[in-house]
This record gives sequence, structure tokens and C-alpha cells, in this order.
Amino acid sequence: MSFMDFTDLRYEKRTLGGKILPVVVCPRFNPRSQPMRVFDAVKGLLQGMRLTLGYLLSPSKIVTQQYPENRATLKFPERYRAILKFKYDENGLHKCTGCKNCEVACPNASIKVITRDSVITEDHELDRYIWRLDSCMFCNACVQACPFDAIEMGHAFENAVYDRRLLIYGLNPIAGPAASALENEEDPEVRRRMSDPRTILGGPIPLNGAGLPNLKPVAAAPFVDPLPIAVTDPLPPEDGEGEEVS
Amino acid sequence: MDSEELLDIVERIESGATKREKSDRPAVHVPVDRLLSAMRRLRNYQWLSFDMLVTHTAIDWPDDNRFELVYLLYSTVHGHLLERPQ
Amino acid sequence: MTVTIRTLNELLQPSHLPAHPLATQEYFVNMGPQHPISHGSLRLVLRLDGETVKEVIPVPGFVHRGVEKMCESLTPRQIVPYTDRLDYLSAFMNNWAITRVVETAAGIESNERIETIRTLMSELQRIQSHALWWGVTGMDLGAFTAFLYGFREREVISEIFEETVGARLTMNYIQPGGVMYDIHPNFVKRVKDVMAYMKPIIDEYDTLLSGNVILQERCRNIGILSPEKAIALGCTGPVLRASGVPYDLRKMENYGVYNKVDFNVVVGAVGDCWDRYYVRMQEMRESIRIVEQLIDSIPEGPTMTLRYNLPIEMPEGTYYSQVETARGVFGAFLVAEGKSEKPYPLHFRSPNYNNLWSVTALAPGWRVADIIAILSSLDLVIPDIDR
Repeated sequence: MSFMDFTDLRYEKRTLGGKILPVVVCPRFNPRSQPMRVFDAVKGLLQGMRLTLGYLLSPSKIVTQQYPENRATLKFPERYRAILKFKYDENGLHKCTGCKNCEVACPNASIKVITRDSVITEDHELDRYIWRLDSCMFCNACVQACPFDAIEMGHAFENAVYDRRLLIYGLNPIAGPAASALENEEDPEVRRRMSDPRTILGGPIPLNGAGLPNLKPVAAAPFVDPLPIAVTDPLPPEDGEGEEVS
Repeated sequence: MDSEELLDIVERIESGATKREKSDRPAVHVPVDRLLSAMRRLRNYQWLSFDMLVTHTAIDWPDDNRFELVYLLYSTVHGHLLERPQ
Repeated sequence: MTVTIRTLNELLQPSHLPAHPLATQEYFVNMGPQHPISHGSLRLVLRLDGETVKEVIPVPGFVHRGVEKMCESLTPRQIVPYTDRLDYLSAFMNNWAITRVVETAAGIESNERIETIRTLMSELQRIQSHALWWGVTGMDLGAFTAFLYGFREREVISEIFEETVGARLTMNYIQPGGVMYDIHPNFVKRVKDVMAYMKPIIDEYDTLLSGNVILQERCRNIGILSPEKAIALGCTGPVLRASGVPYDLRKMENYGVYNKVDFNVVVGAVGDCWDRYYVRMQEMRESIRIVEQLIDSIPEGPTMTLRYNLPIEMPEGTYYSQVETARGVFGAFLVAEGKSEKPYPLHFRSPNYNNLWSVTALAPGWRVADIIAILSSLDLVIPDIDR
């Protein structure tokens, strides 16, 4: 130890607010009772330097991560919250029924769920699931609110882009009923007609990042090719149509 | 000292004070013109000695066209917390 | 009753002209809003006479986001993530304050397991916050090495949070009715490892910085805050305890499982910068003691007692709850109208706001360089001041 003893703690009892509290009083250096000598002061400085020198000489203790060189080996905890994404079953179908619980639970309106009536069964189903990364604060409320376990927080954290319109995602690659509802339909031809493809960035304003030239989102929901639904129709023109979402 | 006794003492030393209902802590109402004198008494009366102002805020009631100032007082001597809306 | 309100413009008039043509005139210097030691956008106007500080006028409000007003249109569950953004180094404790007030208002029962997890997380975050503060103080006072050491230990605890909570800063973990997730299977083992690792590290901190004569000379007997003044200004947390008042809500208010653990309230002897420095160092050791007592005996039980999508009904009335964060008393004052689950209004009592104004009492008479030590020892987090 240097010129003062840090273990010199005083334990006592003090009364405050009608309670008797165990108290420990901090140590302090008193220059009147114990004059500081130059030697002590220099010794205190040298001890600190010896500590840093010790770390310099033993690199195994150094904890620095070489990001971004270590991208390939970066490991994230399972619960890490960085980006909202859909969960898919083994056929690549989503579980979202369009109940809008997440939209209601979201504290700053980052989620907009657009639903439609199915052309075949006239049931309530998902059309577009729009998520605004730019206003999301990753509080996990939507995931907690989802009664169908349809969404989760993913680990892709490098989300910087050059245009903020690229931060507005359509999360669902397919508009249509949830996997549970689709399984009830036997005829594959009807099943195909029940679902439409949706792109990640195309859609009504402000979801029009698809129109930007030469710009691509860094982190986007992976497009899972829905195997049982053979999509052959060309994409419908989407830019600028539909209701305005904000 | 429980909250009932505390409110009794406050009512005795400050004539304008009335108990405030629907509060999870002991709370009294004081008319605005007696605010300063009431605060002095709450601080100086030795059985109360509210020496710390924890926080103060206001509640706006636009329907009644009035607002309440809320003072939260704490006594480091006795350890009780008092809300004083007025 | 009259109240005199002086605008900033009036405050910034020089109080006198020099008595002699050769005497120095008072002048003003803006410290901030962008200043390396203010850790955010805080403007301090210093009225100086030469190098001596005559008066400090804090001008907060650069990070004002109107959180309290926003909360009037949010449900209790939606308010919780906003409290993360006030004092971001005490996110768990801020979550806990609003959770406590909502649970009191709605009469939600909690269980032992939930309370133990909340206490453990809060204490871990207190260690983390103080470790970061220690590093930043070192940097403010010229020892850049300390900054890196402080961040190293912060990272170790952050990894525990990352695993259980899924976030490093904005937790949203303690929610009305429980906690977001149950603790991770690795949690107990990791916490034990980290606590065993932290104990010698704090002694290492003492060797590296506390035993440094430069820090000692810049802190000892600088900026003495008397206990009476500290109470009158409403200071809480380490700032008040350093003045010798053992006011710690963990002891004074019965919340969490603090009544089951044995720990001491750390107080200072004089109330100078050194006491404020060492109170936090010792508090880290006390927090380690609390964590070690709790980590082996986390009771069984559910970690969420409410269904998420059900609204939380709060009967009409006013409610106030407070917790001890790493910087002092964080309280939430909630008025429920009984009509909807949204509060009207909600007020946050933030510890940093009151601690900030102690600088007006502390600074006069000291030199400009001492202001750095004083501000650093107050450990201000600016978004919490401005809300």
C-alpha cells in the first residue's frame, strides 16, 4: 500500500429517520497527523505504473476484441435484441395472423400491420407487416405481446444505411394466411392463390426503398422461398399506391 | 409514528390543512395563501421536522380550471414522507 | 408571498465594475454544452474572477425530450422502456421505480423470486455504474488509463446482462408483474465468477488511482458539502452519503429483498470530493457482498405474474414510489384518473437533477480546475437531468 491505508474503515452505528443503521466510514489521508513524504507520493505513482506495466507484459489478460476483423467469430447471446424478424416454419410459412397485438403494444408506433380479407376464404389475414427500424427502440414489447409466437428479435446489428427509407422493412415475404390456417386447405392450386409475394422494401409510402437506385439494405429479413407455393406471377406495381402509412 | 398520527399532528399545527384522500402516502391539502407559513411550520416543528424536499411537481386539472402544486417532503430525523398537494 | 424570478439574461450581467482601473473585472465562461467532462450536453455558466469561481449557473435542458409528457399517452408497460433512457447507467433501477409505482397502484402481487432477481440485477448494475464512473473520473482528472480499466469491468457485467436480458444498456427488463425473462441457465455461475473476479479488481483500482498522489491532492478537502446543505438541496445517493448522512433507501424503504441481506451504508467523513470518490469505491464492495449473499438462494417461482396483453387497471389516486439508483433516489409520482390505464400526469424525481444544483453551493471560491473534480465526483448523467 501507498501512503494511506485503504483498509482503515470505521464501522459504527448511526441513527437516521428513526432507524439504527450499520455504517462504514471511508478512509482518508490526513496530512496533519501523517505528513506526506515525497518518497511515499512517488511510490504511489510507481505502484500504479507497475500495474499497467504488468498488463503490458502479460497479453493474455488483455480483453480487447478486434472488431470488425472478428466478424466471423462474433457470438451473440440467444436473447440479444437487434432486429425484428419473422419466425418461419419448416415450409417457410409465417405464423402471423394479423391480430395487431404488436402494433398496439409498440410504445412508439414502429409497427404497422396491414391486413386484408382473403380472396378465397374471405378470412382476416396479413397483407403487409411494416416495421420501422428508424424509430424502433428494441424494447421487445411486440415479441412479448405476440400470442402466436410469430416474431422474434434477431442478432443482425450492423444496420447502418445511406438512406433512411431503407430502414423501413416489410417483414413478411408472403402476404397471406398464417401457416396454421393454410394447412387446412387441401388443394395446392387454391393454396397458391391464397398467398402473394411481398418484397422487403417495396410498397406504399413510406415503404418505397425499393425504388432507390444502387442502394441495398445491409440487414434485411431473409427471403425464404416458400416451397409449396410456386410463385409465377410477375410482381404487381407497388410504388406509390395503397394507403399512406406513417 | 403511523400515517394517521402524522396527519393529526399536521392538522393540529396547520389549521388550513385537510387530509387528502386517495393517496398511498400521507397527504394534506393546504390553501395556496398559507403555503409558505405551512412549509415553515412543517420544517421547524420538532415532531415533524421535514427538512428535505424530495421533489415538487404540479398536476393540471383543465376541467376544473385549476392546478395543484405537489411537494414531497421527507424528514431525515423521523423518516416519514409527506405529500403536500395544495 | 412573492417570488423573484431572474432570467438567465439578468444573471449574466456582471455584478460590479472593477473598483480600480488595474483590478480585474468579473467575466463569464461557458463550460459546455459540449465539454469533455460533462458527459452530455450540460451548460454551466461560470462567473469568474481571474481563476476563482464566483458563481456557477447550471443551464440544463439541452437533452429535454418531454418524457413525462410522452408517458401520459402510454400504457404502464410502454412507459418502462422510456425510463431506460433517463439515467441510462441505472436502467434496471429506473425500470424498478416505475414498476413499483404501477404495482402499488394496481395492487399487483410480486413474489420472492421476482424480487430477488430484481435486487440482483440492480446491484450488478450499481457495480457496473460505479466501475464506469471510476474510469470516467480518472479520465476527467487526467488519468486516461483508468478509463480503459473501468470499461473492462463494465464489459464483464454487460455480458451477464446481455445473456439474461438481451440488451446492454436499455434493458426494459423489470416490468409490472415481474421480469421479462427468467434468468439464463448460466446466470448463477457467471455472476459467481464475475464476483470472484471483481473483488481483487477493486483493490487494483485503489492501487492504480486511489493511491495516486495527484488524485488525492485534487480531491482532498475540495468542494466540501455540509450535511445540512446537502439535505436542504435534496441531494441523494453517494453525494449525500459522502456528507455523512447515512440515507440509503435500500435500508430506509422496505423494497426488494434488501431487508434479508447484511450490508453497511457507506458514508464519508467530511463531504469533500475524496469522500464522494471513496463512498462509491466502498459501495462496490458492499454491492458485491449483497450479490454474494443472494446468488445462492434464488427462490423458485414464476417470473411473470401478469398476462402481457391484459390492461393494468389503476384505481383513481396519487401514488409515489422510489428506489435507490446508483446516483440517488429515483422516484415516480403517478396520478391515476381511473378512466384508462394511462397515467395523468406522471412525474419522475431524478437524482441527478437535485445533485446538479449542489454544484451551485459547492463551486464558489474554488478554481476552474476544481470544478472538474467537483462535477466528476457528482457523477451526473445529463439525460436524467433534462428528462
